[in-house]
Amino acid sequence: MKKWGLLSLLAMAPFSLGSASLFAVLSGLASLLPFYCLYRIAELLSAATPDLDAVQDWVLYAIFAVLLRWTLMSISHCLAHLGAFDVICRLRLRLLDALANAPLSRNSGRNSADLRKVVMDDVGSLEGMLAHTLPDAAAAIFVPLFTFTYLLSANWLLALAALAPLPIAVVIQILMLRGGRAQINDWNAMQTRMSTRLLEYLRVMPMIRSFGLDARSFGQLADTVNAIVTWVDRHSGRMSIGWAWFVVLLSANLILVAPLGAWLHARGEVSASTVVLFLLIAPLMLQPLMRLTFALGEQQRRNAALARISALLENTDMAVAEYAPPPPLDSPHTLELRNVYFTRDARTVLDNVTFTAVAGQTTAIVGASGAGKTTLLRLIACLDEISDGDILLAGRELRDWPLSTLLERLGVVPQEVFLFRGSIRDNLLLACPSATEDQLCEAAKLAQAHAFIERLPEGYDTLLGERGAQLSGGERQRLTLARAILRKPCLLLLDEATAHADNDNANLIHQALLGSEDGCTVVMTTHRLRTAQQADHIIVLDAGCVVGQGHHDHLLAECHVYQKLWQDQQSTMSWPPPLPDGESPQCS
Amino acid sequence: MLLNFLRSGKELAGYTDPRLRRGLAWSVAEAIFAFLPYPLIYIMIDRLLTGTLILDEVVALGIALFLVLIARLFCAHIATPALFRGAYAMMGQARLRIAAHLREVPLGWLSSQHSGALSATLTRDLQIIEELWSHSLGVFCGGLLVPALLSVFLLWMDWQLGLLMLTSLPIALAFLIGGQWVLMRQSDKLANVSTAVNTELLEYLQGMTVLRSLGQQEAYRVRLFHQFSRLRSAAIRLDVWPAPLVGGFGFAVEIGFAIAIGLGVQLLSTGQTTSNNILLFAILALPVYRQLYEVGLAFLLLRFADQALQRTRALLAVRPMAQPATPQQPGHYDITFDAVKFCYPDSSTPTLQGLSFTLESDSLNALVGPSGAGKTTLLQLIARLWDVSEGSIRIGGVDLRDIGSQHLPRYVSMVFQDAQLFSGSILENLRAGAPNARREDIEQVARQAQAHEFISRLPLQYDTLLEENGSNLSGGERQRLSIARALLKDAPIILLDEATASIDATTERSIHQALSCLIQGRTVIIIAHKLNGIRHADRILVMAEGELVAQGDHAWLLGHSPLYAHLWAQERQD
Repeated sequence: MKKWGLLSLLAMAPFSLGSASLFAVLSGLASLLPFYCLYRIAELLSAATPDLDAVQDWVLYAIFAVLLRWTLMSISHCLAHLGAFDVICRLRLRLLDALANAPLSRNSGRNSADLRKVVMDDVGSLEGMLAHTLPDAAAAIFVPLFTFTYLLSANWLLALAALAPLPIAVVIQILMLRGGRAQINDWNAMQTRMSTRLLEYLRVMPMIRSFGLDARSFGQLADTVNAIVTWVDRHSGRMSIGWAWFVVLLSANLILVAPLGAWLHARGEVSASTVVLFLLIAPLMLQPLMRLTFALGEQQRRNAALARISALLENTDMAVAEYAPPPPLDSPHTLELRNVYFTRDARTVLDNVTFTAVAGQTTAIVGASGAGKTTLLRLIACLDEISDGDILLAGRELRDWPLSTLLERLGVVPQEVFLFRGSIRDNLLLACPSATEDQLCEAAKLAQAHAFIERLPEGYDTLLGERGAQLSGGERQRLTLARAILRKPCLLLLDEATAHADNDNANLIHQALLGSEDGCTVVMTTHRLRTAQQADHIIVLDAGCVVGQGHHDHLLAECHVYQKLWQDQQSTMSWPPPLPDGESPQCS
Repeated sequence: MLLNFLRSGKELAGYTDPRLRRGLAWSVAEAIFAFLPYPLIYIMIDRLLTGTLILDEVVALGIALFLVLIARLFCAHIATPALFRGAYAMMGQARLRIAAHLREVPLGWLSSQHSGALSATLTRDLQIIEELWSHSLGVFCGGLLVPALLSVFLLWMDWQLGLLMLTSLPIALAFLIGGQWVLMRQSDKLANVSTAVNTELLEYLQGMTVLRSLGQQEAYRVRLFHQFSRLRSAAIRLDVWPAPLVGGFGFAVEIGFAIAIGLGVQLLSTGQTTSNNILLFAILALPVYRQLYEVGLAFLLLRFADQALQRTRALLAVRPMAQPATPQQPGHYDITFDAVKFCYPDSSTPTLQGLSFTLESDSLNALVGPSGAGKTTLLQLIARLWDVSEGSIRIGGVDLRDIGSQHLPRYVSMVFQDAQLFSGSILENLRAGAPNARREDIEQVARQAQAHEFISRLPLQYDTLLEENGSNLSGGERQRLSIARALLKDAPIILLDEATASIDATTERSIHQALSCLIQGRTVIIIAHKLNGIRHADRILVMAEGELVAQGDHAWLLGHSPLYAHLWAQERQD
């Protein structure tokens, strides 16, 4: 995708945003008209015998001018918002599409709350830029230019006097902005830290209460809150003073214009009404610049949001390759790993892993925590990308599969269960919208979920979600399993799929899976060796290496790591755990 | 509304910062100096129009204007930083106060809240209030005071013309109030749509991988497209519908000078005013009243702050758990459940129904039963994370509600299934229960909890910073830290929710070793997932569907509880 930036935003709604800016400029110019009317009235009234009818006419013109200004302003406002929200809506969809088309591995490390923040909050914050800053900036550039030209034509000396404070104000502004970026980053970082701490405070509230902590003694919560107060204490002086000088100076040209005008008038060089004109317009001439600077400051704050948006948009292109037709759907697929390496943060997580999971058979991956079991499964499920080696499904490399075709054939039950809001039925049907009631129940029965679903007051129509039924971890996991089974995948990946289940259910589930007639290929990780024992093939992982594979009896005889695991599990602990002879508990 | 807003600061923060008062006072002074050039200009134009201006006066005028400018800057120098410092200090205080308040409300209330909404109030709502406090107080002060002073001055110079000048302001106010009404109605609607969109989007993002693997992404995309379009329409309505009224407000504010001239010239014929006067009024009034438009816009924003304020107030209005006037201390540590019934706030069926039992001091007790039986809830009730719906729980004969939440942690420690670690160093996490613990003691408990070894292997050891929820440690390591923390706290009652997460046998073994240290000489209740581990417990409570179906020791239960016997047989078979 091409480089993404401000222009591509504007190009999403060029007409409404462009005309909004045009109307803003026109409205800015119209805002000067009442002063011109007043100038004409001043001329009329300062005559010896004022022409009152003419005055009335100019009053009407003035009213009309004010009306024109506000009408133009309202039109600009509406157009700007139409355009801005249009851009926002489109941008959100583009972000979703970008996420949807990115390789799974790229999204898997991303926190959904952060993504939500980008799609909603960051994109939403563009409203200020598109609907306010943009028209304001257009007006702020053109209106003072026009005003100055006009004043110049009335009297060049007075016009220059009106411009005099500008250089000083600009210098102050530049001084203020210097170092401003670092300060803004500081500020944003502090705000983020504070909200993280507050959320954490809510999350671990049970611990806080049971440990007798409170808002002041919990972690660094009070520190982060106070850090902001201290920061304001330290920097507000400098920052607000710079701002105050800027504001005051921009409207301070009156102190030059007024005496100079009076002096010129006394010398008979300008008329009284011209002096009046300058007194009216000069203080207003530079004021749009105030908005411009303000807008620039805002823009600086928005840069971080823009960067996050473009990072999502730019980073999602996938090579579109020509794919050969995939093998038929209805047969189980063989999975083959050849010399697979995976490194994360310069640490080798998987080291030259090679094995084959034969079609229609169950392969169990066992090993101590941290041996790389889950990582291995994630690689097969395309959630991470291998660093080196090949993974082949049905004889074809994973990256040569069209992603959607590949996903169609995978059933994944991750350790962390995700269910959608809606009924249990909705959640199951997601896997296969056309499934009949019988198929639904059959899958649920295989996953040992049917019984507990039937016990719920509303059965399959029970609602899940934040306010819905509270299912236990095991129940949720069984629902996910049922969902995966319903799809009749060619390769089923189970990551500790029965970790939450009690023994009863774990057994039933495994029996159901092992005995299932459809015979899809199953690759599972498990820490229950009793479960692994029933698998056709066992892979033993230790620190990322395959240290043994084969059947249970073979491994028990040959593989030290497996023997150790088996012994540890055999001596299932009781309290207090059996201690080696002669050793007393080192607790007192 | 403005007064309401001013009062709210004290209400949220619990005090009024003196700097805020000082800042306001200096803002008033600044406004006066911002106003003073106008009378000076008035005099000058008056002389100019009557042709009586002399050069000395021009010089004097220039000097006077310059001095006023310096004085104004001086005031701003003091006012603005003082306002900022005061406002941020107060809002910082407010945050901590609200956080402290949330600690006292029933946990049930907290978890029944939409977690997103709650954190939004704590962060975004308070930010809105904070920004308005710091940025807008000065705007209101100057923006209202300068036109007000000018009006008084003009009325004093010529009351008839002055009144004419002010005639359009009531109309302007009507426009503003109308605009505000439309805006608020639309913003309520927008807020509803926006919550719905956020919820749906978050769900989509969380389930994106699942949806993709289920091939259902397109269906969700269409749904989200509809939601985004709804949001767009609502947002456009919010900004477009009030636009004519806001425009009308600007028009009415600005039109005063034209009315004054138009009607003022009628007074000329009767000699009640002079043409110079009319001109003077128009010249002074136009730029000043124009500024009122900005103030009006700030008022519209104030409404948003008002909404944020209401949400914050609603948080503070939640009743905290009742605490005893005179906390009582239990003398011993047996635990009695007396006809305890408990129902979650949003649920109609009770989670625990009519539980009665007594657990003796220094005994090891286990809770077993199928998932969903209410075991975790029972543990949480003893830690008084919730209050019982009916019945009572007593420690050493004293009702939990008479011990008081503040003192209860002295008697009860809880080891959570999810460890509940927070970002901070390992040391800080361990010290949570005993802030003054010495380093040797901490290492001692870490050794007992089988945690010292892995901590020592970390590059920064005890000073290693944990990420959120300790995600840079493995599940077993987190569990052992959580056990060490409870050991350090040294409370006589231990509540243990054994982790079910997948842990290999070796890790499990070291965790059990840690636990065996923790349970010595204490009253312990443990939720056990493997019966083998707790078959030596003094008492085993068998639960099913919120009820206590049997209690006794292992041998007795095998003979008398079919459920227990079944669970046991199942585990043997495995």
